[in-house]
Amino acid sequence: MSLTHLPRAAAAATAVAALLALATGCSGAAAPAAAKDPAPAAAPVSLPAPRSAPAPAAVLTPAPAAGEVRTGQGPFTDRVKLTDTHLTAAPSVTGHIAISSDVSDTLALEITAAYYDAQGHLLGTGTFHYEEEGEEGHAGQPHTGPRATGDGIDFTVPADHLTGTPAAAVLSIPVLVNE
Amino acid sequence: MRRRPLKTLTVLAIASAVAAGTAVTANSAPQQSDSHQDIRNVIYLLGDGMGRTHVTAARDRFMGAGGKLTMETLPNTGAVATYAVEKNSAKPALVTDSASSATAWSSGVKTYNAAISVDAYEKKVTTLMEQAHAAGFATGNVSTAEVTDATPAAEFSHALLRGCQGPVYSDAACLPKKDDGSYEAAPADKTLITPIAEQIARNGTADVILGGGLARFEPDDQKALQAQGYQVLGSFGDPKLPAQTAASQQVATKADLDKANGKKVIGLFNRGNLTVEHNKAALPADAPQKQEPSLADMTRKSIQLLTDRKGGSYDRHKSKKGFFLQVEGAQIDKRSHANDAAQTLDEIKAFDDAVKAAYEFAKKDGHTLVIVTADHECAGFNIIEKGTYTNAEAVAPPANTDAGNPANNSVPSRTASGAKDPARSSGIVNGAGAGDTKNFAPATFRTPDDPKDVKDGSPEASLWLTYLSGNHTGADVPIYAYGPGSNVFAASQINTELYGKMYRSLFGRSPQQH
Repeated sequence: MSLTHLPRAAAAATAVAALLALATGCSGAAAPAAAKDPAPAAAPVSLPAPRSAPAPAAVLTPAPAAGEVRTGQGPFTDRVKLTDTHLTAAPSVTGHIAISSDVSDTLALEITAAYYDAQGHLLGTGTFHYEEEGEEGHAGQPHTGPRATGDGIDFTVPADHLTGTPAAAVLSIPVLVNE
Repeated sequence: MRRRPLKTLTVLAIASAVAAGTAVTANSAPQQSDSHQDIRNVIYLLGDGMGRTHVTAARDRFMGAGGKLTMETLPNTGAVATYAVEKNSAKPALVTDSASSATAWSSGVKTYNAAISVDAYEKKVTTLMEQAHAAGFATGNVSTAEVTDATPAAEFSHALLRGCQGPVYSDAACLPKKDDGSYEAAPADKTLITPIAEQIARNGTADVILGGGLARFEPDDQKALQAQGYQVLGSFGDPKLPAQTAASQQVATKADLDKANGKKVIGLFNRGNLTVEHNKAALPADAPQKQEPSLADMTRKSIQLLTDRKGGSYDRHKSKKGFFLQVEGAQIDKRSHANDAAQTLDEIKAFDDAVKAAYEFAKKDGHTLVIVTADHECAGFNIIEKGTYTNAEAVAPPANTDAGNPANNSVPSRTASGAKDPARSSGIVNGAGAGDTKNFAPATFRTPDDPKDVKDGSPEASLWLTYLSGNHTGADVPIYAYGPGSNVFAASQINTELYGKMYRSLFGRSPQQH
């Protein structure tokens, strides 16, 4: 029977039912049987403190050669290509990094340098941060210029409050995320 | 109150019923009756970055123009709007990322791009998978990306920034920046800045976790998982090392997955994203990537593990609570970003094979709702007419004048059409123009409708595919659904509505706080 032939009361009831269906998003078909009321949410999960990157070695073994820049093995070493690394007088470590694992925008990249004296004693560290896309990128300020994926980008890791003059450095990549 | 005439009520009833999703689409597949069928399981599959044209192109490529992918045979079809919002506001941001979109269907809230299950004001929001888990449903999260990536992450973790994946915390990856470029203060709820891998390994939200991303995890995560009863496939590394490497970790394999039988299982089959099927097929038999399962393999196995965990879907004497499973075909998006049409097409096919696995289970089970959709479109994928070219290959845009009827002219009015620019269109990109990195030309593919001697990359191939960009677009995405109550998805809807519809399917009532 079409709606147009329904008695007024029935048509009104149908309209109300349809409106209720619209309000709840349910179809006019038989509603699925209700599951038992969900249990209350479990107690909040106890998480440890957010994990930090491992501290650099206090002593570098074997002792480094003057001007040497090593690459420490880590979770993302196999995803990047580091080239032209140099220890500068600034002091800083400069170089070029190309991400080889992804083609999409780089959301987070962190390069850490640990600086050592000629005997291999730790003098301090420095960090380089880079991103191509984040909230800023989506807020109408997209990244332009060279990209870490593909051809790669030049980087400089400035030393931060060293306790002496560095003779060598070790690079590590604790953070790398592509979209 | 003034009484409305009957005709008005009648029209209102019909219009409302249609809006509520009772209308069925023109799809000729048999409609499943909803009567007397309760929903015990929901399987939500999404092709990341899979727009309407992605589906059409894959259909043309693999099934022919008159064929259908499995997802297209599901009886109810609709569309989903995917926009995000700007941070600390309700103002739409018309192009979403995967994080905001996944938060929308996981929690029913619009949020800013890069947010993982927090609202636009950085407040944690409960997810459907968390609610299902708390209510006693079995839960699974499967992806061809790293399991810490935005789409899977939004169901079982919370983070202010999607980049906070692990293995370690850093301000740059985990803390948003203020307008002046400095970092926001750390939130009181430290969960929101805890690396996603750490959260996943400890919150127990998903009983079955399959995908990539082993490099995000450390041995203490494996220990935490095992303490909760997870069967951990492969090895997360050597606890004696300060940082894990490719040498210290052991990825899981398909053989490991085949043997898995735990009530809780985690299998990470690559340290990064899984290998795209197009490339995996070309690798030698002894390549380690050949040991990775396909998305269909992971889908079938996760369904088996989740049903086994519940004593089997057909066991009427057990609880009627079944499972909630999310399955992501992630590389459709990643390869669209790369404008690699061959890889994109094969990833859509691999995703459709996973849809087939879910659909076959659902048809047998009779109490399973299957939803297939996407989080957003990626790269403005287009099918252009054979032999034609795009604006990206032209010296100028198309003309915009009508000499026969000048009233049709508008501003900007261009008198000359753009001819093809040989410098930017130096041959089909998967054919003669493959060596030119500056080439904007289409990629061409043979279809089952082409003569047998037609090759991919040739001008004779009938499927000509182009990309607008390397980024997401704001186009609506398709949605397909099968099973009890699936007709509610036969609508034009906003992605946040998917949460409510799935919630009602699982719990039989409107969403509420748990």
